[in-house]
Amino acid sequence: MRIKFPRMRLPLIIFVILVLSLLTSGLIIINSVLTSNLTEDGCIYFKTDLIEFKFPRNWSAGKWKYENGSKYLFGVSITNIDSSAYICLAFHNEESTREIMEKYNLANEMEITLFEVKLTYEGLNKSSGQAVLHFMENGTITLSFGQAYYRIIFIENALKRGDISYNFTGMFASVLIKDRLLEIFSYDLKGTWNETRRVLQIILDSLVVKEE
Amino acid sequence: MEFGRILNLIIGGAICLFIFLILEEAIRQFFISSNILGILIFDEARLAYNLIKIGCAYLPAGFLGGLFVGYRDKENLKIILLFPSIIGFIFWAILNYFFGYWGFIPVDYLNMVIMPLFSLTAGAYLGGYTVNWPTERKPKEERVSLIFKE
Repeated sequence: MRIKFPRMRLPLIIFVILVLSLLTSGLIIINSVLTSNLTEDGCIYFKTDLIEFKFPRNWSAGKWKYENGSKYLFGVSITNIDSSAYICLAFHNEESTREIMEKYNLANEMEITLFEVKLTYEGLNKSSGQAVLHFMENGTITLSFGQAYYRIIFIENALKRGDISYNFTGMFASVLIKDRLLEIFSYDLKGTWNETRRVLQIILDSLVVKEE
Repeated sequence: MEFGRILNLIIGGAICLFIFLILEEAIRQFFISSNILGILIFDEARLAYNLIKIGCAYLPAGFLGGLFVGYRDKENLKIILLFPSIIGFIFWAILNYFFGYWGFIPVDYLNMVIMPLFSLTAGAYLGGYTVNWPTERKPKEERVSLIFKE
Protein backbone atom coordinates (compact mmCIF):
# COMPACT_ATOMS: atom_id res chain seq x y z
CA MET A 1 0.00 0.00 0.00
CA ARG A 2 1.40 3.39 -0.97
CA ILE A 3 1.10 6.24 1.52
CA LYS A 4 0.15 9.49 -0.15
CA PHE A 5 1.51 12.68 1.39
CA PRO A 6 -0.41 15.87 0.68
CA ARG A 7 1.51 17.90 -1.85
CA MET A 8 2.90 21.04 -0.17
CA ARG A 9 4.17 24.14 -1.85
CA LEU A 10 7.87 24.97 -1.48
CA PRO A 11 7.48 28.24 0.52
CA LEU A 12 5.16 26.47 2.95
CA ILE A 13 7.69 23.64 3.37
CA ILE A 14 10.46 26.22 4.07
CA PHE A 15 8.19 27.98 6.57
CA VAL A 16 7.32 24.78 8.45
CA ILE A 17 10.99 23.68 8.54
CA LEU A 18 12.10 27.11 9.81
CA VAL A 19 9.45 27.24 12.55
CA LEU A 20 10.16 23.70 13.75
CA SER A 21 13.94 24.09 13.70
CA LEU A 22 13.91 27.45 15.52
CA LEU A 23 11.47 26.18 18.15
CA THR A 24 13.40 22.95 18.71
CA SER A 25 16.80 24.63 18.97
CA GLY A 26 15.39 27.27 21.35
CA LEU A 27 13.85 24.67 23.62
CA ILE A 28 17.02 22.55 23.62
CA ILE A 29 19.14 25.57 24.66
CA ILE A 30 16.62 26.58 27.37
CA ASN A 31 16.59 23.04 28.72
CA SER A 32 20.38 22.77 28.84
CA VAL A 33 20.77 26.19 30.54
CA LEU A 34 18.07 25.28 33.05
CA THR A 35 19.49 21.89 33.96
CA SER A 36 23.02 23.26 34.36
CA ASN A 37 21.96 26.15 36.63
CA LEU A 38 19.20 24.62 38.73
CA THR A 39 19.83 24.00 42.43
CA GLU A 40 18.41 21.09 44.44
CA ASP A 41 15.70 23.28 45.97
CA GLY A 42 14.44 24.39 42.55
CA CYS A 43 16.11 27.82 42.46
CA ILE A 44 18.31 29.23 39.72
CA TYR A 45 21.97 29.71 40.59
CA PHE A 46 23.34 32.83 38.90
CA LYS A 47 27.08 33.33 38.64
CA THR A 48 29.16 36.21 37.24
CA ASP A 49 32.75 37.43 37.67
CA LEU A 50 31.58 39.69 40.52
CA ILE A 51 28.76 38.02 42.40
CA GLU A 52 26.83 34.78 42.65
CA PHE A 53 23.53 33.94 44.31
CA LYS A 54 20.37 31.91 43.85
CA PHE A 55 16.81 33.05 43.33
CA PRO A 56 13.39 31.43 42.64
CA ARG A 57 12.99 30.31 39.03
CA ASN A 58 9.51 31.83 38.65
CA TRP A 59 10.78 35.37 39.27
CA SER A 60 11.73 37.39 36.22
CA ALA A 61 15.37 38.48 36.20
CA GLY A 62 17.68 40.67 34.19
CA LYS A 63 21.16 42.11 34.43
CA TRP A 64 22.59 45.43 33.34
CA LYS A 65 25.88 47.31 33.38
CA TYR A 66 26.64 51.02 33.15
CA GLU A 67 30.21 51.89 32.26
CA ASN A 68 31.78 55.31 32.18
CA GLY A 69 35.54 55.33 31.79
CA SER A 70 37.01 53.34 34.67
CA LYS A 71 33.76 53.51 36.66
CA TYR A 72 31.12 50.85 36.36
CA LEU A 73 27.91 49.77 38.01
CA PHE A 74 26.73 46.20 37.61
CA GLY A 75 23.16 45.40 38.56
CA VAL A 76 20.77 42.49 38.75
CA SER A 77 17.02 43.05 38.94
CA ILE A 78 14.63 40.33 40.05
CA THR A 79 10.89 40.91 39.75
CA ASN A 80 7.81 38.99 40.73
CA ILE A 81 5.36 39.76 37.96
CA ASP A 82 2.34 38.67 40.03
CA SER A 83 2.86 40.94 43.00
CA SER A 84 4.93 43.87 41.66
CA ALA A 85 7.69 42.94 44.09
CA TYR A 86 11.19 43.96 43.08
CA ILE A 87 14.68 43.14 44.30
CA CYS A 88 17.80 44.80 42.96
CA LEU A 89 21.48 44.24 43.66
CA ALA A 90 23.75 47.05 42.45
CA PHE A 91 27.47 46.57 42.62
CA HIS A 92 29.80 49.59 42.22
CA ASN A 93 33.50 49.28 41.55
CA GLU A 94 36.05 51.33 43.57
CA GLU A 95 35.97 54.40 41.30
CA SER A 96 32.20 54.49 41.16
CA THR A 97 31.93 54.04 44.95
CA ARG A 98 34.43 56.85 45.56
CA GLU A 99 32.57 59.17 43.19
CA ILE A 100 29.20 58.57 44.87
CA MET A 101 30.56 59.02 48.38
CA GLU A 102 32.44 62.21 47.49
CA LYS A 103 29.65 63.69 45.37
CA TYR A 104 26.95 63.26 48.03
CA ASN A 105 29.27 63.57 51.02
CA LEU A 106 28.54 60.12 52.41
CA ALA A 107 30.85 58.52 54.99
CA ASN A 108 29.51 55.03 55.69
CA GLU A 109 26.83 52.42 54.91
CA MET A 110 24.32 54.02 57.31
CA GLU A 111 24.50 57.36 55.48
CA ILE A 112 24.33 55.68 52.07
CA THR A 113 21.16 53.82 53.08
CA LEU A 114 19.56 56.96 54.48
CA PHE A 115 20.47 58.85 51.30
CA GLU A 116 18.77 56.18 49.15
CA VAL A 117 15.65 56.23 51.37
CA LYS A 118 15.45 60.02 51.03
CA LEU A 119 15.91 59.83 47.27
CA THR A 120 13.17 57.21 46.89
CA TYR A 121 10.72 59.07 49.15
CA GLU A 122 11.26 62.37 47.34
CA GLY A 123 10.78 60.67 43.96
CA LEU A 124 7.53 59.00 45.03
CA ASN A 125 6.20 62.10 46.77
CA LYS A 126 6.83 64.17 43.66
CA SER A 127 4.41 61.98 41.67
CA SER A 128 1.75 61.18 44.30
CA GLY A 129 1.95 64.37 46.40
CA GLN A 130 0.52 62.62 49.47
CA ALA A 131 3.28 60.19 50.43
CA VAL A 132 3.98 59.71 54.15
CA LEU A 133 7.23 58.05 55.19
CA HIS A 134 7.46 55.69 58.21
CA PHE A 135 10.72 54.12 59.39
CA MET A 136 9.91 50.54 60.42
CA GLU A 137 13.16 48.82 61.29
CA ASN A 138 16.91 49.21 60.99
CA GLY A 139 19.98 47.19 61.92
CA THR A 140 22.66 44.99 60.44
CA ILE A 141 22.53 41.71 58.51
CA THR A 142 25.46 39.32 58.57
CA LEU A 143 26.43 38.20 55.09
CA SER A 144 29.15 35.76 54.04
CA PHE A 145 31.50 38.65 53.15
CA GLY A 146 30.65 41.30 55.75
CA GLN A 147 27.95 43.14 57.61
CA ALA A 148 25.35 45.14 55.71
CA TYR A 149 23.42 48.01 57.25
CA TYR A 150 19.72 47.97 56.40
CA ARG A 151 16.62 50.08 56.85
CA ILE A 152 13.01 49.01 56.25
CA ILE A 153 10.56 51.75 55.43
CA PHE A 154 6.84 52.04 54.75
CA ILE A 155 5.50 54.81 52.53
CA GLU A 156 1.77 55.44 52.67
CA ASN A 157 0.11 56.54 49.41
CA ALA A 158 3.38 56.12 47.56
CA LEU A 159 1.91 55.63 44.10
CA LYS A 160 -1.36 56.55 42.47
CA ARG A 161 -2.62 54.78 39.38
CA GLY A 162 -6.09 55.99 38.52
CA ASP A 163 -8.16 55.90 41.69
CA ILE A 164 -6.05 53.22 43.35
CA SER A 165 -3.21 54.26 45.62
CA TYR A 166 -0.44 51.86 46.58
CA ASN A 167 1.60 51.64 49.75
CA PHE A 168 5.30 50.98 49.42
CA THR A 169 7.21 48.65 51.74
CA GLY A 170 10.89 48.55 51.03
CA MET A 171 14.28 47.58 52.35
CA PHE A 172 17.50 49.42 51.59
CA ALA A 173 20.79 47.81 52.53
CA SER A 174 24.37 48.62 51.71
CA VAL A 175 27.74 47.12 52.44
CA LEU A 176 31.27 48.24 51.63
CA ILE A 177 33.57 45.41 50.59
CA LYS A 178 37.15 46.69 50.25
CA ASP A 179 36.00 50.11 48.94
CA ARG A 180 33.46 48.51 46.60
CA LEU A 181 29.84 49.27 47.36
CA LEU A 182 27.05 46.73 47.14
CA GLU A 183 23.55 48.16 47.41
CA ILE A 184 20.56 45.93 47.97
CA PHE A 185 17.17 47.40 47.35
CA SER A 186 13.79 45.69 47.46
CA TYR A 187 10.20 46.83 47.54
CA ASP A 188 6.67 45.61 47.37
CA LEU A 189 3.52 47.47 46.35
CA LYS A 190 0.74 44.93 46.82
CA GLY A 191 1.04 43.99 50.48
CA THR A 192 3.07 40.83 49.95
CA TRP A 193 6.15 42.07 51.80
CA ASN A 194 6.56 38.84 53.81
CA GLU A 195 6.92 36.82 50.61
CA THR A 196 9.32 39.40 49.14
CA ARG A 197 11.40 39.31 52.31
CA ARG A 198 11.52 35.50 52.21
CA VAL A 199 12.90 35.61 48.66
CA LEU A 200 15.32 38.37 49.64
CA GLN A 201 16.54 36.14 52.48
CA ILE A 202 17.18 33.28 50.00
CA ILE A 203 19.25 35.66 47.86
CA LEU A 204 21.18 37.12 50.80
CA ASP A 205 21.91 33.68 52.32
CA SER A 206 23.43 32.47 49.06
CA LEU A 207 25.10 35.75 48.04
CA VAL A 208 28.84 35.55 47.41
CA VAL A 209 30.95 38.55 46.37
CA LYS A 210 34.11 37.59 44.54
CA GLU A 211 37.54 39.13 45.03
CA GLU A 212 38.65 41.46 42.24
CA MET B 1 -1.53 52.87 -6.53
CA GLU B 2 -5.20 52.01 -6.17
CA PHE B 3 -6.98 52.53 -2.87
CA GLY B 4 -8.02 48.86 -2.74
CA ARG B 5 -4.41 47.67 -2.96
CA ILE B 6 -3.29 50.09 -0.25
CA LEU B 7 -6.15 48.90 1.96
CA ASN B 8 -5.04 45.28 1.42
CA LEU B 9 -1.52 46.17 2.50
CA ILE B 10 -2.78 47.95 5.63
CA ILE B 11 -5.00 44.98 6.52
CA GLY B 12 -2.00 42.69 5.92
CA GLY B 13 0.08 44.85 8.28
CA ALA B 14 -2.68 44.77 10.91
CA ILE B 15 -2.84 40.97 10.63
CA CYS B 16 0.96 40.86 11.15
CA LEU B 17 0.64 43.03 14.25
CA PHE B 18 -2.28 41.22 15.90
CA ILE B 19 -0.98 37.72 15.26
CA PHE B 20 2.43 38.80 16.52
CA LEU B 21 0.99 40.32 19.73
CA ILE B 22 -1.07 37.18 20.44
CA LEU B 23 1.81 34.78 19.77
CA GLU B 24 4.36 36.83 21.72
CA GLU B 25 2.04 36.86 24.75
CA ALA B 26 1.47 33.10 24.32
CA ILE B 27 5.25 32.50 24.44
CA ARG B 28 5.56 34.69 27.55
CA GLN B 29 2.70 32.81 29.22
CA PHE B 30 4.41 29.52 28.37
CA PHE B 31 7.56 30.71 30.18
CA ILE B 32 5.51 31.93 33.15
CA SER B 33 3.43 28.77 33.47
CA SER B 34 6.53 26.59 33.11
CA ASN B 35 8.20 28.52 35.96
CA ILE B 36 11.26 29.29 33.86
CA LEU B 37 11.04 33.06 33.58
CA GLY B 38 14.15 33.50 35.75
CA ILE B 39 16.30 31.56 33.30
CA LEU B 40 16.25 34.61 30.99
CA ILE B 41 18.96 36.20 33.12
CA PHE B 42 21.46 34.07 31.18
CA ASP B 43 22.59 35.31 27.77
CA GLU B 44 22.26 31.84 26.21
CA ALA B 45 18.67 31.55 27.43
CA ARG B 46 17.85 35.01 26.11
CA LEU B 47 19.24 33.96 22.72
CA ALA B 48 17.07 30.84 22.84
CA TYR B 49 14.04 32.98 23.78
CA ASN B 50 14.71 35.17 20.75
CA LEU B 51 14.98 32.08 18.49
CA ILE B 52 11.62 30.84 19.78
CA LYS B 53 10.16 34.30 19.27
CA ILE B 54 11.40 34.40 15.65
CA GLY B 55 10.09 30.92 14.93
CA CYS B 56 6.78 31.08 16.76
CA ALA B 57 5.79 34.76 16.67
CA TYR B 58 7.54 36.84 13.99
CA LEU B 59 7.61 34.29 11.15
CA PRO B 60 3.99 33.07 11.56
CA ALA B 61 2.73 36.66 11.95
CA GLY B 62 4.53 37.74 8.77
CA PHE B 63 3.41 34.53 7.03
CA LEU B 64 -0.29 35.17 7.71
CA GLY B 65 0.01 38.85 6.74
CA GLY B 66 1.75 37.81 3.52
CA LEU B 67 -0.80 35.08 2.90
CA PHE B 68 -3.61 37.64 3.00
CA VAL B 69 -1.83 40.13 0.75
CA GLY B 70 -0.74 37.39 -1.67
CA TYR B 71 -4.28 36.05 -1.87
CA ARG B 72 -5.82 39.46 -2.57
CA ASP B 73 -3.14 40.80 -4.87
CA LYS B 74 -1.34 38.75 -7.50
CA GLU B 75 0.81 41.41 -9.19
CA ASN B 76 4.28 42.66 -8.29
CA LEU B 77 4.59 40.27 -5.36
CA LYS B 78 8.32 41.01 -4.99
CA ILE B 79 7.55 44.60 -4.06
CA ILE B 80 4.15 44.50 -2.35
CA LEU B 81 5.12 41.72 0.07
CA LEU B 82 7.62 44.11 1.65
CA PHE B 83 4.82 46.32 2.94
CA PRO B 84 2.72 44.19 5.35
CA SER B 85 5.78 43.56 7.52
CA ILE B 86 6.90 47.19 7.40
CA ILE B 87 3.38 48.46 8.20
CA GLY B 88 2.97 45.87 10.98
CA PHE B 89 6.35 46.82 12.43
CA ILE B 90 5.52 50.54 12.35
CA PHE B 91 2.19 49.89 14.17
CA TRP B 92 4.07 47.78 16.72
CA ALA B 93 6.77 50.43 17.24
CA ILE B 94 4.09 53.12 17.77
CA LEU B 95 2.25 50.91 20.29
CA ASN B 96 5.49 50.21 22.14
CA TYR B 97 6.48 53.85 22.20
CA PHE B 98 3.20 55.11 23.63
CA PHE B 99 2.06 52.17 25.78
CA GLY B 100 5.25 50.15 26.28
CA TYR B 101 8.76 50.84 27.45
CA TRP B 102 10.41 52.10 24.24
CA GLY B 103 10.47 55.68 25.46
CA PHE B 104 12.40 54.77 28.61
CA ILE B 105 15.16 52.42 27.54
CA PRO B 106 17.93 52.78 24.96
CA VAL B 107 16.96 51.14 21.67
CA ASP B 108 18.60 47.78 21.07
CA TYR B 109 18.64 47.89 17.27
CA LEU B 110 19.38 44.20 16.75
CA ASN B 111 16.63 42.77 18.97
CA MET B 112 14.08 45.55 18.69
CA VAL B 113 14.37 46.62 15.04
CA ILE B 114 16.44 44.40 12.75
CA MET B 115 15.35 40.99 14.06
CA PRO B 116 11.56 41.63 14.06
CA LEU B 117 11.58 43.48 10.75
CA PHE B 118 13.70 40.88 8.98
CA SER B 119 11.73 37.91 10.35
CA LEU B 120 8.34 39.50 9.61
CA THR B 121 9.48 40.25 6.06
CA ALA B 122 10.77 36.71 5.53
CA GLY B 123 7.47 35.35 6.85
CA ALA B 124 5.47 37.69 4.58
CA TYR B 125 7.38 36.54 1.48
CA LEU B 126 6.91 32.89 2.39
CA GLY B 127 3.19 33.47 2.98
CA GLY B 128 2.69 35.52 -0.19
CA TYR B 129 4.47 33.01 -2.40
CA THR B 130 2.71 30.04 -0.79
CA VAL B 131 -0.59 31.28 -2.23
CA ASN B 132 0.90 32.12 -5.61
CA TRP B 133 3.28 29.21 -6.03
CA PRO B 134 2.84 27.66 -9.48
CA THR B 135 1.67 24.07 -9.18
CA GLU B 136 1.69 21.59 -11.98
CA ARG B 137 -1.51 19.70 -12.65
CA LYS B 138 -1.31 16.22 -14.02
CA PRO B 139 -3.58 15.58 -16.98
CA LYS B 140 -6.37 13.18 -16.16
CA GLU B 141 -5.55 9.62 -16.87
CA GLU B 142 -7.53 8.06 -19.65
CA ARG B 143 -8.17 4.40 -19.86
CA VAL B 144 -8.03 2.84 -23.22
CA SER B 145 -9.18 -0.71 -23.55
CA LEU B 146 -8.32 -2.70 -26.53
CA ILE B 147 -10.42 -5.59 -27.60
CA PHE B 148 -8.82 -8.02 -29.89
CA LYS B 149 -11.09 -9.97 -32.09
CA GLU B 150 -10.03 -13.33 -33.26
